[in-house]
Amino acid sequence: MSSLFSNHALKRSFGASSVVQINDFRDRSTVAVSAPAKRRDASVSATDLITTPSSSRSLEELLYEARAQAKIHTAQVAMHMDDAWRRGLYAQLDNLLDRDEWFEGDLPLGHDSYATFIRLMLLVRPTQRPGLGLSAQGKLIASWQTNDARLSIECLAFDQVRYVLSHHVDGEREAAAGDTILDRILIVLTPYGPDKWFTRVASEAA
Amino acid sequence: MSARNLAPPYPYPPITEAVVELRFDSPVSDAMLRKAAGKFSQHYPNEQMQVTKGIKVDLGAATAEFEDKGKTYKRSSDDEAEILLLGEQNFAVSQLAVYPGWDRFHERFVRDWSVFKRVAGFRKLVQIGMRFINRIDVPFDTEGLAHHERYLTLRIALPNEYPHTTGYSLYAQLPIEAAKCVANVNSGAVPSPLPEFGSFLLDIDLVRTVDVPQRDEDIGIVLALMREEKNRLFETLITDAARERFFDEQPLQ
Amino acid sequence: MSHQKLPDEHHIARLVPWARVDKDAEGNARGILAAAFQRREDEEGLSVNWLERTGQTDLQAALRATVRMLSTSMKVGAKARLAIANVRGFRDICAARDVRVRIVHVPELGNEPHSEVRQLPRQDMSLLELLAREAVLCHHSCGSLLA
Repeated sequence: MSSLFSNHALKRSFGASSVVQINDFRDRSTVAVSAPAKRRDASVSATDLITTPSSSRSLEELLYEARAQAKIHTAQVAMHMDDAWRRGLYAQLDNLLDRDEWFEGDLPLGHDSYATFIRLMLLVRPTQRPGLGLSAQGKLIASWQTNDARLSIECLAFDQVRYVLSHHVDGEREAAAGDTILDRILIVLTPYGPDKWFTRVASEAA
Repeated sequence: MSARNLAPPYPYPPITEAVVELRFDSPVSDAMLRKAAGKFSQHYPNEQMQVTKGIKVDLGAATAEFEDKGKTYKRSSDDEAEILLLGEQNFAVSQLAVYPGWDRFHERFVRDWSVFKRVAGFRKLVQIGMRFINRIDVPFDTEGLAHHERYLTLRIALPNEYPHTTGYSLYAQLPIEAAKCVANVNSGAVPSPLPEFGSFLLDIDLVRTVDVPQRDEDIGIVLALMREEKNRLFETLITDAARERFFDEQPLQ
Repeated sequence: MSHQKLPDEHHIARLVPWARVDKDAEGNARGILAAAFQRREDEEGLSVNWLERTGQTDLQAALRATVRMLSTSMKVGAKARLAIANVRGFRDICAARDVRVRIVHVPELGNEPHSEVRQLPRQDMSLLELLAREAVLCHHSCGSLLA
């Protein structure tokens, strides 16, 4: 039975038609591996690979793949999202990864960055959807602005985040930036009053 | 018969993917597959072509051989949640979360199978399958643990000396005689996409290879029966604590 | 090779691709992200354009000339923006954080007003945020300039 999802922990094959799909994000192709055939000889092993041809992909194909992977990833947690929130997010992704606005030399949205972004959203539960940007290295940037205070969080791989914020203190603009892990983002942002952007606060997260 | 034979609709079902698949005995030509794929552009605007390659590795001789094993045309909706797979010997309709309910899912399957047959013609079916992949997300307790045995009845038995596991996987193959099927059940801990949660997969894959229906009406009857049995099995594999997870939810909004 | 420093009273324009424009959830542009001022690893300086060097005395005309010039060597999306800063203002913000930048004229083929901000640290994100929020006097949609 076909599946579009990877089963990280379940490597055992089952059934006659099991297909486990793994995403190889190094070359942006999708690879699926089927159950290995019976071995007659221990030195010979046969298996099947399913791949989307990745050679000479156009920019349009690369951007579509990035959008599609992000939406497929979102589907994994769609049961934890309001429909309107999810649809709004998809519209933002389409807008951000628009071929007509693409800057030459930029890397498309990386799946590792998007995975961190989704976990960030589910952790901090923002009061509103952030604006979305993208670094030249393909890392998603979530930004919020309330009055004159702005917070941007660049989502890196493996739950690493880079936050940048600026606000006015006694008439002077103050800025702060740093790298941390997702688990600590609310604690790190506590001095800056993150409750103006997020519904969760550090004491809840601890 | 259990009072929970048929699962009630849950507000937040844990289904991450549902698939219905038909397999045929004779391959469909690539030209026909391409033509069929083109018929779905209105419902599934996005198309990707996937190539299956066989690899044979001879470690003794340090050689590898590649063999083309056919193409699959994948079509998807703009939100990538509705997917159609057209392969040389299989036809599959897949639905990612949010699962819209059986009626809507089955309606799409019926529609797409009808369109496919108009191009590919009659195909003798040799296998009918239904797969529901569930993921149960559980918040960590005060000790930072998520106990699968509180949520699933398919459990790993550990010795007293090693009461906790940082990962596990289980597989069971169960005969489902009422539907003339075999159920392949995979379960295990998986990396959770949610922060501060543990997640457990419950993957139920029903496969029928005997008395495979050929007429559309009979296919519908068999799928309904398989679904009923799948639901019955699912309900026996989860606990009330798991069911509470399907109601208790504060979605991101 | 020494390059001419831009006069303090003059202005620079930084091309900001749509991906680095700060926008709200509905896609309305509301500013420039700090990442817009982060030069690539293989770049010696942050690329900008010297506005007054276009020879235009009117700001809008200078901006239009700048976008047209940039469009001859790269794709400039309609939603990309030109972020404008005063040379002295830019340098003062950096100096307040003990960063001495040099804004110099580095003409390129087909883009004579091309200039660079040198010695701007790549990874000082709080400085880049201050530049994005304080140095940028205004920003204009490239699409509206080319229309």
